[in-house]
Amino acid sequence: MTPMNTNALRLHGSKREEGAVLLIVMLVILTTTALAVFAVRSTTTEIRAAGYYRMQMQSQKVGESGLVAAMAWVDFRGPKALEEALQSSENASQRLDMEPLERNVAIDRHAYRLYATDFNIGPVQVVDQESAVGSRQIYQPQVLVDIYDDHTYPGVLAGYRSDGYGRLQFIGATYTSRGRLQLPSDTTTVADTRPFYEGASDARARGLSGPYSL
Amino acid sequence: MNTHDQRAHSRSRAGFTLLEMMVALTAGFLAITGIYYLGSSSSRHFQDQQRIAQTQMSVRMAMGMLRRDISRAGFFGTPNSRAERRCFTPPQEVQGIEFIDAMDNAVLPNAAVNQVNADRLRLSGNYASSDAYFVRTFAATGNRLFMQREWQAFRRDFGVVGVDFSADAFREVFTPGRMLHITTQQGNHFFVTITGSDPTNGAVDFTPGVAVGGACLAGLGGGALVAPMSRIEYAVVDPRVDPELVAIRSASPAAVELATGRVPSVLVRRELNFNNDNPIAGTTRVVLEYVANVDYGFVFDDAINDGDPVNFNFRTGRPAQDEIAIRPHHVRTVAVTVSARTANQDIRFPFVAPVAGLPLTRYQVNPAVAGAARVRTASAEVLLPNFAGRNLRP
Repeated sequence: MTPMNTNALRLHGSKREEGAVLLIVMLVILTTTALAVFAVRSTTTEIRAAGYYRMQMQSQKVGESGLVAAMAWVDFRGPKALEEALQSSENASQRLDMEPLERNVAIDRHAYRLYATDFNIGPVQVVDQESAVGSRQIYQPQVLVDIYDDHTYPGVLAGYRSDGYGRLQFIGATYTSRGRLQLPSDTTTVADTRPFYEGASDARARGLSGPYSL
Repeated sequence: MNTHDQRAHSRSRAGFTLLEMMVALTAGFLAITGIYYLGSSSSRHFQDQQRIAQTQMSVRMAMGMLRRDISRAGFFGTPNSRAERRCFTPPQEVQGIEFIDAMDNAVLPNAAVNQVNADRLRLSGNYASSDAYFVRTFAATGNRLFMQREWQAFRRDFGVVGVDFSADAFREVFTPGRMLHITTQQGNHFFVTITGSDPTNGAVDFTPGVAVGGACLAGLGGGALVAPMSRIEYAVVDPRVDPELVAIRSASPAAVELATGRVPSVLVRRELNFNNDNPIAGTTRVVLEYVANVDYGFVFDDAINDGDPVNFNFRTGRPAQDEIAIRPHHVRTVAVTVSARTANQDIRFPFVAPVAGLPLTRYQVNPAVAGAARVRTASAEVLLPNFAGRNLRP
């Protein structure tokens, strides 16, 4: 047996304690790092989810504002203008390509599309960025409204014949508004492959306008 | 071994004294007990909060479903078939909204002490599709109509004939037990019962037949719009009794349910057959479990004549039920309050009788068991755009 002096004993014990401290410190750092990573990931997910929810609400507002703007367009110009616009689609060259958003309308059926610029009154944009998605938002609203399934409806007018053979009538149609949120084109490049999260929301209504004279 | 080494060896073999052991053990015991209680308490609070959060989430989801369905009432249907311009009395009058006050109170355990309600609500409108369809012509017999299959809504819902047409989807929408709402070009309304369908020809059979070519339906009736109408019911039921739920529910002894507070009461959504008011098989959906309270109130526009200024009045309970039975088309909004409770009574959460005007927070399922279940509530006022838009009088 080799005798061990006190110096050696002290040195031996001290070394073992230093190893334990290192291990404990490593474990604490590891745990803290894991917690921090988890917290950051969790917060990132929460922020992203909140962003998606905000985009969902914004795109819904854009879709609905398109619907209201289309109704206002018809109110402003009158049902006769709507009828003429729909009849313009009888020309095959004017036919709308609605796919893949929706199947194309049948042959010989009317379908007319209103774009956001159609709603502008002079320099005033009806569906503009700030009113649709709020101030200081990067996403720009895009909207278009398809009008189809038009039909005439004589309805009941006080003091007028009610058998459906009069000269006054209403025009009914389906309005489908498609609201989208997109990044402005000057913030993207062809080579940019980042995933662009965009929002989409559609709104649909049936409108009845009139009466107007045939 | 010299004396120096002997002393060192002795030191290495030295143990703790009894006093040291006692102090260390006591301190250790206290520390472990404290940690145990802390852990146990944290775990219990965590579980409680999880249950409450789950209850809150369930209530919010139920409210979302109610909001969607209520705001759809009268969609391509009618607020009140009696107030429409029509040519004959339909086999079944149609109301966009029906209300029966406190009809299911017996299902809620200990309802009187908890001062809660289980009202029943029925809604009708087009809940089967999102469109109305264009009528090409009526059969001369008057009990079959043919739809225009080029109509975009028809193509969107059922597909294109010869390409991807879905006969099953057509049959599902125009299924017997529902009604048809036909609006002629002249503005007359027919409410008839669906008896069958012929998807290949885009045709629906119904009864009673309509007089084709008469004053009410000019020509062959082309140009009319037609939509299916469903009748949706929200009711609180006992899943141990309800025929649709009893089959899928895992059995649990009644004594255990009573002792733990887990006496079930479930808010369901189901479709009723217009002909006999019975639920249509396979349509029952659980909306909310452990329901504590389902209460509806209504804002009426009591203006009777066209041109009268609006006269909004809020009614609930029996007065609302009586008014809706006569003038459902005057309802403008529905105030919905839905509450759910946690499954178990918590012995640490004592029951305090509810105070009128204050929100319900505690529910006593079984008076023989101490404590109360926790309650979470959601309230909303839902507009009825299809009622206000029609503005039927008187």
